[in-house]
Amino acid sequence: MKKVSIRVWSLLVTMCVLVTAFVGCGNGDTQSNNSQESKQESSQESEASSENSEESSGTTSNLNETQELVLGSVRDIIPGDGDAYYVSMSADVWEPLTRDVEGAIEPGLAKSWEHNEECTEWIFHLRDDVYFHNGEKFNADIVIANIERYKKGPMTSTYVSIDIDKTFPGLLTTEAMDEYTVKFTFSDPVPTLEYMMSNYGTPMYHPDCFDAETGAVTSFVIGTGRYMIKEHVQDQYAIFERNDNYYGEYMPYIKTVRVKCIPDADARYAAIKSGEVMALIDNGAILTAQVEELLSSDDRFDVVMTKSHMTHYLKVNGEKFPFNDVRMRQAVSYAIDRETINEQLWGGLCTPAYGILSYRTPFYKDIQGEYNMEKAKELADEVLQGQRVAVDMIVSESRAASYPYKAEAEYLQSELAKIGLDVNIKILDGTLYNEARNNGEYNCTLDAHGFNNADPYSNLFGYIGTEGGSNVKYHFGYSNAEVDALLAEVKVTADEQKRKEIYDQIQVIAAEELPMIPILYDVNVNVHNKAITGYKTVPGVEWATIQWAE
Amino acid sequence: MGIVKYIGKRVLTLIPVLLGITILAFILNCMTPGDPVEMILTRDGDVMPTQEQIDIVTERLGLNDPYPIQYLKWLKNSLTGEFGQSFVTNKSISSEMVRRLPYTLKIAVLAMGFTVVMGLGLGILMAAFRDSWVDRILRSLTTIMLSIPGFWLAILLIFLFCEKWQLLPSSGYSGFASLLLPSFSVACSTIGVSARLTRTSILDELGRQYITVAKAKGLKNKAVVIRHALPGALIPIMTFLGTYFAGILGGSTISEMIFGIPGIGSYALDAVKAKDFPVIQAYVLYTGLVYVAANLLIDILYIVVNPKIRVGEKAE
Repeated sequence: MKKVSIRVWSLLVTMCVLVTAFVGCGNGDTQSNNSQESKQESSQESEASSENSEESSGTTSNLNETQELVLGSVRDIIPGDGDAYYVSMSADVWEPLTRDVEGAIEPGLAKSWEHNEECTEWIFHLRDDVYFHNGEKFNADIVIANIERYKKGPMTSTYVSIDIDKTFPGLLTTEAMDEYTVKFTFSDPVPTLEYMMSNYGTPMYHPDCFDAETGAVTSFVIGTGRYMIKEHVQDQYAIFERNDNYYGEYMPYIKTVRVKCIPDADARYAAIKSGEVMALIDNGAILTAQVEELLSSDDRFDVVMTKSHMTHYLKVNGEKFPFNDVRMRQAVSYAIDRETINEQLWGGLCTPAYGILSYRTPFYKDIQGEYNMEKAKELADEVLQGQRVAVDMIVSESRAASYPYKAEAEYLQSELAKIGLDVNIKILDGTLYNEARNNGEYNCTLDAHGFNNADPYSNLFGYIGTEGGSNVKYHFGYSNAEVDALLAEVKVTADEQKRKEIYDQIQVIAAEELPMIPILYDVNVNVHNKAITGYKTVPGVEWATIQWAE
Repeated sequence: MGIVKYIGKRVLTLIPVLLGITILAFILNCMTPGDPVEMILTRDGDVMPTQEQIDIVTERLGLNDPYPIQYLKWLKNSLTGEFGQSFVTNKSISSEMVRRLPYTLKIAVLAMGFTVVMGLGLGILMAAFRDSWVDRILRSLTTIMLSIPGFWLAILLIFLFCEKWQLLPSSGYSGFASLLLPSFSVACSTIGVSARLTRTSILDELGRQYITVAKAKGLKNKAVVIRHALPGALIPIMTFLGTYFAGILGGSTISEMIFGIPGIGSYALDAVKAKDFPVIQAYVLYTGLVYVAANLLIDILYIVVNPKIRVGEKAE
């Protein structure tokens, strides 16, 4: 028995030793731009530099140079190889030819552009002072190489997919007119090319970082932006270092930025509250209720809000009774008290929505509506003829996790009961939700969508064009010959004022016929520690303006 | 029967089990609603894919083949350790699993450490002080431990150790300290169960005749429990712990998600959400292998711990 006892204790001791030894081992998958560095070393360096900077504790500029800024993100800001972009645009590693800044198109790597009257030939004049992170110069050949890369697609991404047909529809040729001039020729007029090329439309990479055959990114992205990728551990953190040779107008203050991936909402909240991260940077990084709690309980934090391109809607199945009747859709719209929803469920952060277009697009028309239960009952009664009708409201589980959709659905359930609709709420897993929506097995759904570029044509066509992809696939059943004609017209109209007029008309019709019932315009909420200043969103967080407070 | 021969025989019998697991997983994947091609092409949520794009991606993923052909192709590749590419990330599944496995292993090993030390420790204490106030308090404590949901405990631990006291990192892997909370949240309920199991097993052993003899010889209670009762009591505990260890090696999904540890569990969860068939298939095969290996290991450990047990014989 004594021998057995010795065996048992030997086993236990061995296990303890193994646990300590094994768990203490570092991980070995750190990717570094210069050399393979272990994460522990990096952390120690980081801590050391932090301590040094605290000791010197001198000026802000010293801190900016020496103290790493740590930000928290919902997802890995570098999805990595396999993703069409490799790294989020907000990291400022790569840059596009044109930029969408608050809905206005501004020059990016292209400083100016022009087109012929038919909008079939576009000439872009590139900046001649731009260098990639590897020291090589940006020029027209680089643009052509990138366009060739887009042709290998569609390339998928967690952001937006790269699809040559989406950004350059009907592209016939791309040619370099000189070292810094590129000409695009199209088979059909493309009046809004500069919109479609903005931001994620034309990421410009050095050809050394992607495979010319497949278009896949094969190494750290070599871009022209203000920051370079220094180190990356997938799904853990990414370290970016300032590009001191940046050509642009202003240089970032902070030399080193670390972005930690913190997928859980509670962990993110704890991270910012404990000072582990200085700010949260992704959309939906902090829940509305957490913002209120944080700001009311702690004066170390500040919140920055900007208009989001997302709009929340009650989307209806217009192929089925009762929402195939425009009066029923209008009745529901009148029955929704958007102010109450905003104040009670969204902390008053959003804006009541009555128009179909996001309030961030340059073509947004300010349309106002009203909450009028009497009118709602009247309209509903005309359709229902005194009967009560059961309707299925489906809500995606993932949406319900990001937004207060469950409470909102329950609120709508109680309000719509007053106009004769007995709402049956179904919270569904993503797969089942898509299945129900694609098969038209629903009456209405709470959903949100945004706009992938400043020109809303493709989205509007998709949602309210008779042949629109989403309209057909999700059984919205909306068809209006006048809207179709306006969409066809705006597609070939180059004049900005004329386009605005057409979009105005479409928005007025959509507010009247409600192919989708807008509820709220969303807002980007970004929280940061007051230890940093210059924190602004555009709507992603602009790192370049951030610096340590004195 | 020699132990080597025994292990060989066990391994052979496990092959049809593993095949069965993969076939079942494949059938379940096929029956699950949702079209992976559509999911891939609508990830940005804005623009609907064209039929041409759908056709290209379907062809690229080999989804035009009949189901049996798809399965056989996958099986052939997986035998060489190549599980293909993820539908969603386009990354090699094998590489991704190899990258993630160390994180899961670290959590599993540390959680196992917590369970062995605390579970056995508390169980021995409860047995040694049977029906005393120590026993009663520890029994209540273990009941609480096994009743606490893992996700809730994880959030509580983050609140206390990260937000309030700022002692440990809230998320991600940054060395030993960052594993303490996820491992403990995984281990907590099992500590409770194993402590109670240890107590019961030891008390069961203490009722046996050889213990009475040992006591009659004048051995102290502590020596009787630790030197005599514990080895016998360890057999059912080892079975339980072995299965538990296999379970967390399959990925402590909730803990990995909450604490931002990119292990196997969070990979599987993302794959299920995105209907990433190849990843789910690879994960099922991996977990099947882990369970099979764990069971085999437990059998071998029986023999190591208690030499009285021989292959094909019963312990006396």
